[in-house]
Amino acid sequence: MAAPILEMKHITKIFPGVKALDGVSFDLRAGEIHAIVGENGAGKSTFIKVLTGVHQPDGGEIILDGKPLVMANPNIAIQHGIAAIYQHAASYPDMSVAENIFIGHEFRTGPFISWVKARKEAQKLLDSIGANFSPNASVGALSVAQQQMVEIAKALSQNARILIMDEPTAALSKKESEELYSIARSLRDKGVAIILISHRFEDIFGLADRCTVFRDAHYIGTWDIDEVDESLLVHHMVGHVIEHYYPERTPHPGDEVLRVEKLSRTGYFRDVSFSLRAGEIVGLTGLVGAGRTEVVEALCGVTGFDSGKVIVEGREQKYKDPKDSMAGGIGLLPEDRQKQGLLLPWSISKNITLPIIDKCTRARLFMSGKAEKTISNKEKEQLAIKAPDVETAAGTLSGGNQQKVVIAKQLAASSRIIILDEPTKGVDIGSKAAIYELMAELAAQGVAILMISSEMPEVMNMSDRIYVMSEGHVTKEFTDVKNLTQQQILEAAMPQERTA
Amino acid sequence: MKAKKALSRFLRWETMLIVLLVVLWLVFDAKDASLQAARIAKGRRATDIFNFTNMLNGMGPYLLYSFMALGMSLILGMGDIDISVGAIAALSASVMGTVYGPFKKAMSPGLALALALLCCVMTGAACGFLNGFLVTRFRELFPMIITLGTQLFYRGFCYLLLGGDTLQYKDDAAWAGLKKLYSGSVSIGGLSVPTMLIWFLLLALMFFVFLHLTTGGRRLFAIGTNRVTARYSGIRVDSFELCMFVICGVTAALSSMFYVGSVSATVRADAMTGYEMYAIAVAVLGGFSTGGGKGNIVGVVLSVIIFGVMKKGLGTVFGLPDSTVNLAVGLVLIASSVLPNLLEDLSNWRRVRRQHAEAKLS
Ligand SMILES: Nc1ncnc2c1ncn2[C@@H]1O[C@H](COP(=O)(O)OP(=O)(O)OP(=O)(O)O)[C@@H](O)[C@H]1O
Ligand SMILES: [Mg+2]
Repeated sequence: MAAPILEMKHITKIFPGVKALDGVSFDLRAGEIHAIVGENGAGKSTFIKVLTGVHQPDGGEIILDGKPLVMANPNIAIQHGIAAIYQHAASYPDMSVAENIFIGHEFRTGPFISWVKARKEAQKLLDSIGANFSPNASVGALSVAQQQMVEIAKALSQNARILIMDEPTAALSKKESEELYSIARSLRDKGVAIILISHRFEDIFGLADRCTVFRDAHYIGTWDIDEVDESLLVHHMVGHVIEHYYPERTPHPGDEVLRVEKLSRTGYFRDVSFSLRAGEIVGLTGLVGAGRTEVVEALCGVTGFDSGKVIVEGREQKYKDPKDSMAGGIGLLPEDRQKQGLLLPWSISKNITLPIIDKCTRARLFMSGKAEKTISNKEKEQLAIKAPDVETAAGTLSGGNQQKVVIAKQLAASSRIIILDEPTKGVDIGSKAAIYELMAELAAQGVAILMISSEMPEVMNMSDRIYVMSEGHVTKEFTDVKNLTQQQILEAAMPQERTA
Repeated sequence: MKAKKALSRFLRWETMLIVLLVVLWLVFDAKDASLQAARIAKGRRATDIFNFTNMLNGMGPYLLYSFMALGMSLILGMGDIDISVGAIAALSASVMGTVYGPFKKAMSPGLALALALLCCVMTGAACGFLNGFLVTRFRELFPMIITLGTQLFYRGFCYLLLGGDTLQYKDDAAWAGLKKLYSGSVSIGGLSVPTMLIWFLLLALMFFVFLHLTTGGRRLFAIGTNRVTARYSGIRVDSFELCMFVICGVTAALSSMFYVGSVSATVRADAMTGYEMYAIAVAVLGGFSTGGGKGNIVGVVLSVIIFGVMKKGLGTVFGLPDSTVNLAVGLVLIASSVLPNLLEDLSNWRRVRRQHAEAKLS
């Protein structure tokens, strides 16, 4: 067995009030893909940040190639060939691919940066990972998957021998994930060691060679991937067995509450029609970039639409601002929790009550801390948000727990129509089950739920009906979800050759 | 325990300001005492120049920009900036002076002045509205650039109205009443307190209540922390921001009324040049950063006092020229804004050093 290139021994990291890592150990060999799994808040991301010098540990040591090393800052990690790709990648959306790859270590001729050389090298790197876009393209215009390829290329340009991917597929659809897998495999075969963090079992079992489990800041164990199966892994992660992953429910659809007719916005989507009834859970799926988010943003008044109709509870509406759609009883859970869903420096409590501040008042004007606490404590409990208390800053929570806070915001607002854009992105299985349970409960109370999701099992198991979008159109509506196969959905989601 | 933690977080910056104020005070007082001792040694009469009563009565000049600083706090709290407030103040005063003449011919002087003051406030509001409109309408431009443009525009407007002249209404009792606005004082418990200070504290109290106790303040800081999230959370960001710019313009107009009083009730087109910088500096020292999302009015009030004490102390006790005083004030401002970062670096540096030590041991 090859000697490990990286060993991390008894790493401890303490944040004010939270022990994020408690004597955690880990080793990594060249040419392996090593998955780290665990519940939300188990300490995975913190562990990575210790390795990359973003956080300084309070105890333990890092041994690279047999020598102890102090990661005083992120540059040291980069110099030693350790590169990380995070979920929120796009560093400089207005700059070109080549510029993004080489920023910080540009080619120089004298005092000048040689972009010609950079473009050439960028092209080589992109070719080597099989990316088929130009180094001149601006990164903002690429899909999330492509942006991740740019990040990988950037890591390779820094001669990374250890590549860390923290939830790389969370925003990707199945097909895009596959592409990422094949890149990861080919890198591994070239001898790069890869650390993979993911809540998706497809990723772990499809890709990893070994797997390490963290639970509650502790190291639980490391296994070869063929030694474990899904239920065993879940058991290690959660500490107990999870039954009823998807809740049993008998839908009782009521009146139609939302109807969208031939909605169009030039350049984004065209002639989109669908409907939603009270007590129904409707899935809206498709590849990332199919225009799902754009449609719901248009109908909620975040953006707007050029033509078509939105009819809410029998009345035609053209919302100008999210405030209006909220007043109309529609809640939207935005896609990007960090940029659209949360005020990161703010406490959990203040985040949850922001949409309903008018209700947390005395004399309709003065903030009442008590009312806020009551509401947010209730939501924290219901969603099992892992934090010392509701005064904890949202930015210090783990990714999955941040997502729960955004969901809590929607619940507190008690809307009659709830639109969820990738509600379980980055959420661990225990909490996913809790979110599904909650959706079922809401639907039973007569709330209409529209769920945008790229995760096939979730879409197929939770939805009463499914709409599939591709390239800005609704291509298919499935009403008989019980007898549906993944293949049928994928076919509808694939871009069609236009018959002109 | 939790309450304590919240309280300590709230007080940290303000406590530092209080400490700074006390230190400055003690230094100036000690220097003053030694000056007096020297005078007495030379057989001259001691004239205590730095003491509480003197400071209180001499606050006037340092309060002129304090109203603007309150308005500026709202703007900074949202992550914007408005560098046109000096020009807004000048334009408000110019309008006030220009309309007073014709008004007086049509009605009693008292009523004319009241109307002129109203016009002054309206001008401030209108200028603030234009700023707010441009800032919210053209998000791709920085507020700094937009208000630089409007600053030039408003200032140019002043010259259109007044040319290079100094406007003043000699022997006009009502107009001369403006001087009272600036220099008047009331006696509270035997202490004569400038009315202007009372106006300022009242306004500060209103701003405190708004910013820290009402939903409006919560919305404002939400916008400053993350505009996009604020909008998704049901805040009408654009119209709210516009309102705040209007309020900021009004505070500039208020400043200008007192300013007119301070320069023997005259109005000039180049009045209050550079006051926006004081307003920003006071708000920033008070704890509002240009990044938005944080700050406390208590800090702003403290920082108004600190600026006053520093200028007075350095100017009269140490006898430094005004330019040097500005230099010192600038240094304090820079030091105060880099201090939090330095503390953070220090704690990181300690951790790294500890790890190096451990690595050597093993
Ligand atoms: N900067 C910070 N300040 C305070 N606490 C923090 C900070 N960063 C992380 N934590 C806490 O450390 C714990 C571990 O968080 P971490 O982000 O490592 O979890 P994770 O395993 O990556 O979870 P997820 O799967 O949800 O991303 C959490 O309880 C979190 O609240
Ligand atoms: Mg994480």
